[in-house]
Amino acid sequence: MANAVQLSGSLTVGEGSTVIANIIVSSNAGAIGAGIVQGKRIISATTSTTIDLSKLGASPKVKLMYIRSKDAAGAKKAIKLGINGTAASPTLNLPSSDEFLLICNTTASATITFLSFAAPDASPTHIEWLIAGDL
Amino acid sequence: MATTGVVSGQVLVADSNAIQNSIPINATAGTVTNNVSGQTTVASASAFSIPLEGIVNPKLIRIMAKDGAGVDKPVRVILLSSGPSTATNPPSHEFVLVVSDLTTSPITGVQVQPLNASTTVVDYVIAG
Repeated sequence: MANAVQLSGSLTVGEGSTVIANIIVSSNAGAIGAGIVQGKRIISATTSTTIDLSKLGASPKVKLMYIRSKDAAGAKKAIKLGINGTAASPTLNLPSSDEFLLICNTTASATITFLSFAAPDASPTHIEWLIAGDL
Repeated sequence: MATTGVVSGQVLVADSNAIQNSIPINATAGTVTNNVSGQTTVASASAFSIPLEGIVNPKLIRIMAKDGAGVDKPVRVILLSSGPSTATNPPSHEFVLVVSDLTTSPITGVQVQPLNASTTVVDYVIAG
């Protein structure tokens, strides 16, 4: 696990060779001083499960979250993702999806402290995540 | 603006020596059929809606906010869908969300709430 991690890259919304919007990620997120939390988990219940972000500190400033989920056969499987800012209830209302990428620059006074996710059924759901941020 | 295209690119998470992770975005979001972009200037702390102009399943949302002098200014981004909405999520001056083709309970509205009534300039791109 290395410190002084940098986010970079770009997202493009385009049609053929015509670029409609180009988003430079390095200008969004910049350097990450604390590091990365990576993990995977298999759940076989619909109850909410929490991702531990304690490795990023008590009040991490999350800059990047990437989460994807599949079923036991490797097919995409949508889950519900909750992002908690201050309390037990999710504060950012996201759709159900099998892949999420969120890049933000949260402030020290209003941090993302943990994530929770819930599967749509009790069959095995394989979830992987990568969280990067500052202390 | 209506168009058919894709959300593509990649995000790298790296240190000075080697790339640690590469996230290919074209595998995440895939095809989009519409996008809207623009800029809104407000001098209020009230939440305001960004017009989706017919986009029914946003797959990419990018919000950037600055003050009247061009300095980064945090705002809250509020996503509306079939679930509960809230305005207590962490403020950020830059916000990028990409979700995949396999999306249920899609986002039905995007609101931006400045933290105070001083001038806030919001640039946005939404594709879906």
